[in-house]
Amino acid sequence: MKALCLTALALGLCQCGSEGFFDVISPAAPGSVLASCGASTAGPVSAIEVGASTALPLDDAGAFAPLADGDTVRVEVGFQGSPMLVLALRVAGGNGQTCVQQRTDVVDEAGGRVSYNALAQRFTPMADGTAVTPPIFLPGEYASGFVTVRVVLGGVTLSRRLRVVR
Amino acid sequence: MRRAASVLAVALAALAPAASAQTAPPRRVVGFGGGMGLGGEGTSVGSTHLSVLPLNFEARVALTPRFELAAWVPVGTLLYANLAGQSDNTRRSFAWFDVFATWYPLRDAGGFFVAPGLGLLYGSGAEASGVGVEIPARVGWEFTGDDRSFGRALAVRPWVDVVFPSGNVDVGARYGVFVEFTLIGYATRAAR
Repeated sequence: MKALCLTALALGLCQCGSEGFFDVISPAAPGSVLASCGASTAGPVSAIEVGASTALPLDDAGAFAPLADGDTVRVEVGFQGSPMLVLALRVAGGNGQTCVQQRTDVVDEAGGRVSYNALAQRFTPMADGTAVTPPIFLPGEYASGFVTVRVVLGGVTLSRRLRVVR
Repeated sequence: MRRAASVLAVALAALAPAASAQTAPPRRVVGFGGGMGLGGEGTSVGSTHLSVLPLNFEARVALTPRFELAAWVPVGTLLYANLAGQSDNTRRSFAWFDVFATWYPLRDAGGFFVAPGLGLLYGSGAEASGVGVEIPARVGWEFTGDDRSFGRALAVRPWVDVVFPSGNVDVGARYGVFVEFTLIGYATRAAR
């Protein structure tokens, strides 16, 4: 059995019936990235910031409040009852990229991941030369306390230690 | 008049079901077996795969001579996904089983069959997990002997999965078609 599978895989002919399932559930699946905002890029940026987003309607950008280490973020309850952080990203020096691959992780004090988002995001250019995403929803089971938000985008990594209040 | 009655009797005898003069085939009780499949699949995220189901296990219970329930587990796929298919930095878990209701419309426990089904899938990896609901169906032909104790089935199996990822990944779908070959041995009892 294994020999049959491995032989087939080695020949590049087939999978063993589970790969498609993982394609669908993976946030890094090419299709899901494309579905997020179109053809994504991952070109360099000079700076990234993470902030609280209060943009309404939800696909708007611009209501961006930068978050520094130690700042407080409130857990929001989504329309379906899920607790979540609602954040946004702002980049500088993105050379006009509008759909950018990124990864945002939220980890708790013990190092356990509470939530993440790995979908490419649509960035809206601002008058000051920066570009801002719409709200990024990070659902998870948040306890009051500190979390670390880690963002990787365009070759830049940013970490912010934030206080979560429910 | 007597001649007409004789002709009628001969005609009725000719039209009478042959089975009534024969012994009914044994009744199936339970069956166990395995098989393999080959097919293709696509996903709602745009990927496509050729897939082999290298070893499948199947257990069946016959409720009537023409109706069986089957539990199906792709053992080879599960072994591959959970053991052999692991990469150095990716640990995965994968589970999948289907149940089928097999109906033989033409004759008892053999020949053409239709088997709608229902299944569940679960998968988790380093960065993702999800569950799926599978809706498969088998349409095929089962070759079997007069004693009904052994079946060799060849079937086409279209299927669609609705996949519910955890986290903030959109609900997705898989779909595809397998061609399956299955060998099943049955315990039987004499028909009443």
